[in-house]
Amino acid sequence: MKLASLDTCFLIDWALYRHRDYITKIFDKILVSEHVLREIYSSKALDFVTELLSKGFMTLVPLTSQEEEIARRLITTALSDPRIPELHETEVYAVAIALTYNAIIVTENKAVLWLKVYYPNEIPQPIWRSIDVLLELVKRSVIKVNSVEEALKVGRRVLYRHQT
Amino acid sequence: MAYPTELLTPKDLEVLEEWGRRVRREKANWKFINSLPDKFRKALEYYIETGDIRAASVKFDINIYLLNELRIKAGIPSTI
Repeated sequence: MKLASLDTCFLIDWALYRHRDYITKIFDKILVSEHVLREIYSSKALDFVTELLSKGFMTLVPLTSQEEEIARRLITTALSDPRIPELHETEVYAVAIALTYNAIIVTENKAVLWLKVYYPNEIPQPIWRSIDVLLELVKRSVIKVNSVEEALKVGRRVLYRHQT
Repeated sequence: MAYPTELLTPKDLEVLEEWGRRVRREKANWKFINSLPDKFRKALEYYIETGDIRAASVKFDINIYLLNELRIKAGIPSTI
Protein backbone atom coordinates (compact mmCIF):
# COMPACT_ATOMS: atom_id res chain seq x y z
CA MET A 1 0.00 0.00 0.00
CA LYS A 2 1.42 3.35 -1.04
CA LEU A 3 0.84 5.91 1.67
CA ALA A 4 1.43 9.65 1.60
CA SER A 5 1.65 12.04 4.50
CA LEU A 6 0.61 15.54 3.38
CA ASP A 7 1.16 18.87 5.03
CA THR A 8 -0.35 22.30 4.56
CA CYS A 9 2.55 23.67 2.53
CA PHE A 10 1.74 21.16 -0.21
CA LEU A 11 -2.01 21.41 0.09
CA ILE A 12 -2.24 25.22 -0.26
CA ASP A 13 -1.07 24.97 -3.87
CA TRP A 14 -2.18 21.49 -4.86
CA ALA A 15 -5.80 22.24 -3.92
CA LEU A 16 -5.76 24.95 -6.63
CA TYR A 17 -4.56 22.58 -9.34
CA ARG A 18 -7.37 21.69 -11.75
CA HIS A 19 -6.28 18.03 -11.78
CA ARG A 20 -5.80 17.87 -8.05
CA ASP A 21 -7.78 14.62 -7.84
CA TYR A 22 -5.01 12.91 -9.84
CA ILE A 23 -3.23 12.44 -6.55
CA THR A 24 -5.60 9.55 -5.90
CA LYS A 25 -4.07 7.74 -8.86
CA ILE A 26 -0.65 7.45 -7.28
CA PHE A 27 -1.33 6.93 -3.60
CA ASP A 28 -3.64 4.44 -1.94
CA LYS A 29 -4.20 6.58 1.10
CA ILE A 30 -3.33 10.05 2.31
CA LEU A 31 -2.60 10.60 5.97
CA VAL A 32 -2.98 13.96 7.67
CA SER A 33 -2.90 15.25 11.21
CA GLU A 34 -5.62 17.47 12.61
CA HIS A 35 -3.15 20.37 12.35
CA VAL A 36 -3.55 20.29 8.56
CA LEU A 37 -7.35 20.34 8.78
CA ARG A 38 -7.35 23.08 11.39
CA GLU A 39 -5.53 25.45 9.06
CA ILE A 40 -7.81 25.11 6.04
CA TYR A 41 -9.12 28.50 5.06
CA SER A 42 -9.94 28.47 1.37
CA SER A 43 -13.12 26.92 -0.03
CA LYS A 44 -11.19 25.06 -2.73
CA ALA A 45 -8.98 23.34 -0.18
CA LEU A 46 -11.98 22.60 2.01
CA ASP A 47 -13.88 21.05 -0.93
CA PHE A 48 -10.87 18.99 -1.91
CA VAL A 49 -10.17 17.69 1.59
CA THR A 50 -13.85 17.03 2.31
CA GLU A 51 -14.11 14.97 -0.86
CA LEU A 52 -11.00 12.95 -0.03
CA LEU A 53 -12.17 12.35 3.53
CA SER A 54 -15.70 11.36 2.50
CA LYS A 55 -14.37 8.88 -0.05
CA GLY A 56 -12.15 7.37 2.60
CA PHE A 57 -9.09 8.28 0.62
CA MET A 58 -7.79 10.62 3.29
CA THR A 59 -7.45 9.56 6.89
CA LEU A 60 -7.07 11.73 9.92
CA VAL A 61 -4.26 10.25 11.99
CA PRO A 62 -4.34 10.73 15.75
CA LEU A 63 -0.98 11.71 17.19
CA THR A 64 0.53 9.40 19.77
CA SER A 65 3.56 9.67 22.02
CA GLN A 66 5.57 8.07 19.23
CA GLU A 67 4.92 10.97 16.82
CA GLU A 68 5.47 13.46 19.64
CA GLU A 69 8.87 11.90 20.32
CA ILE A 70 9.87 11.97 16.64
CA ALA A 71 8.71 15.58 16.35
CA ARG A 72 10.74 16.58 19.41
CA ARG A 73 13.83 14.89 17.99
CA LEU A 74 13.49 16.60 14.61
CA ILE A 75 12.88 20.02 16.16
CA THR A 76 15.95 19.57 18.37
CA THR A 77 18.07 18.71 15.33
CA ALA A 78 16.70 21.69 13.40
CA LEU A 79 17.29 24.05 16.31
CA SER A 80 20.90 22.93 16.65
CA ASP A 81 21.76 23.78 13.05
CA PRO A 82 21.44 27.39 11.83
CA ARG A 83 21.26 26.19 8.22
CA ILE A 84 17.83 24.65 8.89
CA PRO A 85 14.86 27.05 8.82
CA GLU A 86 12.46 26.90 11.74
CA LEU A 87 10.27 23.79 11.77
CA HIS A 88 6.60 24.25 12.57
CA GLU A 89 4.23 21.78 14.12
CA THR A 90 2.02 21.06 11.10
CA GLU A 91 4.98 20.04 8.97
CA VAL A 92 6.95 18.26 11.67
CA TYR A 93 3.93 16.12 12.56
CA ALA A 94 3.45 15.26 8.89
CA VAL A 95 7.02 13.97 8.87
CA ALA A 96 6.49 12.11 12.15
CA ILE A 97 3.37 10.43 10.72
CA ALA A 98 5.32 9.44 7.60
CA LEU A 99 8.06 7.89 9.72
CA THR A 100 5.59 5.97 11.86
CA TYR A 101 3.49 4.64 8.98
CA ASN A 102 6.24 4.34 6.38
CA ALA A 103 4.64 6.91 4.10
CA ILE A 104 6.07 9.23 1.51
CA ILE A 105 6.29 12.80 2.80
CA VAL A 106 4.57 15.18 0.40
CA THR A 107 5.52 18.74 1.20
CA GLU A 108 6.75 22.05 -0.13
CA ASN A 109 8.06 23.09 3.25
CA LYS A 110 11.54 24.52 3.18
CA ALA A 111 12.58 23.42 6.66
CA VAL A 112 11.59 19.80 6.05
CA LEU A 113 13.43 19.72 2.76
CA TRP A 114 16.57 21.30 4.24
CA LEU A 115 16.47 18.86 7.16
CA LYS A 116 16.19 15.90 4.81
CA VAL A 117 19.13 17.06 2.69
CA TYR A 118 21.43 17.81 5.63
CA TYR A 119 20.28 14.95 7.88
CA PRO A 120 19.08 12.13 5.61
CA ASN A 121 19.34 9.61 8.45
CA GLU A 122 16.84 11.58 10.50
CA ILE A 123 14.29 11.36 7.69
CA PRO A 124 14.81 8.09 5.83
CA GLN A 125 11.42 8.42 4.09
CA PRO A 126 11.36 9.89 0.57
CA ILE A 127 10.19 13.47 0.24
CA TRP A 128 8.14 14.42 -2.78
CA ARG A 129 7.32 17.95 -3.82
CA SER A 130 4.70 18.87 -6.41
CA ILE A 131 7.27 18.34 -9.13
CA ASP A 132 7.84 14.75 -8.02
CA VAL A 133 4.10 14.10 -7.87
CA LEU A 134 3.71 15.49 -11.39
CA LEU A 135 6.62 13.40 -12.59
CA GLU A 136 5.02 10.28 -11.14
CA LEU A 137 1.77 11.19 -12.94
CA VAL A 138 3.72 11.50 -16.20
CA LYS A 139 5.49 8.21 -15.50
CA ARG A 140 2.14 6.50 -15.04
CA SER A 141 0.75 8.22 -18.15
CA VAL A 142 -1.94 9.95 -16.13
CA ILE A 143 -0.52 13.20 -17.51
CA LYS A 144 0.64 12.75 -21.07
CA VAL A 145 3.53 14.80 -22.40
CA ASN A 146 4.57 14.32 -25.99
CA SER A 147 7.53 16.63 -26.20
CA VAL A 148 10.18 18.45 -24.24
CA GLU A 149 8.16 21.66 -24.74
CA GLU A 150 5.13 20.08 -23.12
CA ALA A 151 7.22 18.76 -20.26
CA LEU A 152 8.60 22.27 -19.76
CA LYS A 153 5.05 23.59 -19.75
CA VAL A 154 4.21 21.19 -16.92
CA GLY A 155 7.35 22.40 -15.17
CA ARG A 156 6.26 26.00 -15.55
CA ARG A 157 2.91 25.09 -14.04
CA VAL A 158 4.82 23.92 -11.00
CA LEU A 159 6.64 27.23 -10.83
CA TYR A 160 3.52 29.33 -11.34
CA ARG A 161 1.00 27.08 -9.68
CA HIS A 162 -1.73 29.66 -9.84
CA GLN A 163 -1.89 29.21 -13.62
CA THR A 164 -2.75 25.53 -13.47
CA MET B 1 13.90 6.17 -11.12
CA ALA B 2 15.13 8.88 -8.80
CA TYR B 3 12.90 11.87 -8.30
CA PRO B 4 14.21 15.44 -8.46
CA THR B 5 13.82 16.10 -4.76
CA GLU B 6 15.68 12.93 -3.79
CA LEU B 7 18.69 14.05 -5.80
CA LEU B 8 19.09 17.39 -4.07
CA THR B 9 22.42 18.06 -2.37
CA PRO B 10 23.41 20.86 0.03
CA LYS B 11 25.05 22.63 -2.89
CA ASP B 12 21.77 22.42 -4.86
CA LEU B 13 19.96 24.04 -1.96
CA GLU B 14 22.34 27.00 -2.12
CA VAL B 15 21.73 27.35 -5.85
CA LEU B 16 17.96 26.93 -5.43
CA GLU B 17 17.94 29.52 -2.67
CA GLU B 18 19.70 32.12 -4.79
CA TRP B 19 17.75 31.31 -7.95
CA GLY B 20 14.40 31.33 -6.13
CA ARG B 21 15.08 34.70 -4.52
CA ARG B 22 16.02 36.22 -7.86
CA VAL B 23 12.94 34.82 -9.62
CA ARG B 24 10.59 35.91 -6.85
CA ARG B 25 12.04 39.44 -6.82
CA GLU B 26 11.84 39.73 -10.60
CA LYS B 27 8.34 38.34 -11.07
CA ALA B 28 6.67 40.04 -8.11
CA ASN B 29 4.13 42.74 -8.85
CA TRP B 30 5.69 45.37 -6.63
CA LYS B 31 2.97 47.91 -7.34
CA PHE B 32 0.40 45.50 -5.91
CA ILE B 33 2.63 44.55 -2.98
CA ASN B 34 3.32 48.17 -2.08
CA SER B 35 -0.41 48.92 -2.13
CA LEU B 36 -1.08 46.39 0.64
CA PRO B 37 -1.41 47.19 4.34
CA ASP B 38 1.95 46.99 6.16
CA LYS B 39 1.44 43.55 7.69
CA PHE B 40 0.66 41.86 4.38
CA ARG B 41 3.31 43.78 2.46
CA LYS B 42 5.99 42.80 4.97
CA ALA B 43 4.87 39.18 4.94
CA LEU B 44 5.17 39.02 1.15
CA GLU B 45 8.53 40.77 1.24
CA TYR B 46 9.69 38.21 3.79
CA TYR B 47 8.46 35.40 1.54
CA ILE B 48 10.23 36.91 -1.47
CA GLU B 49 13.51 36.96 0.46
CA THR B 50 13.23 33.55 2.11
CA GLY B 51 10.90 31.41 -0.01
CA ASP B 52 9.44 30.12 3.23
CA ILE B 53 5.69 30.69 3.24
CA ARG B 54 5.20 28.86 6.53
CA ALA B 55 7.71 31.08 8.29
CA ALA B 56 6.14 34.18 6.72
CA SER B 57 2.65 33.15 7.86
CA VAL B 58 3.82 32.45 11.41
CA LYS B 59 6.01 35.55 11.72
CA PHE B 60 3.25 37.90 10.55
CA ASP B 61 0.34 35.92 12.02
CA ILE B 62 -1.49 35.43 8.73
CA ASN B 63 -3.30 32.25 7.80
CA ILE B 64 -1.08 30.38 5.36
CA TYR B 65 -3.90 29.93 2.81
CA LEU B 66 -4.67 33.64 2.89
CA LEU B 67 -1.00 34.49 2.47
CA ASN B 68 -0.74 32.06 -0.42
CA GLU B 69 -3.71 33.75 -2.10
CA LEU B 70 -1.93 37.09 -1.72
CA ARG B 71 1.24 35.55 -3.15
CA ILE B 72 -0.72 34.47 -6.21
CA LYS B 73 -2.34 37.89 -6.61
CA ALA B 74 1.11 39.45 -6.34
CA GLY B 75 2.37 37.21 -9.15
CA ILE B 76 5.11 35.71 -6.99
CA PRO B 77 6.10 32.22 -8.15
CA SER B 78 5.92 29.46 -5.58
CA THR B 79 9.50 28.37 -5.20
CA ILE B 80 11.58 26.91 -2.44
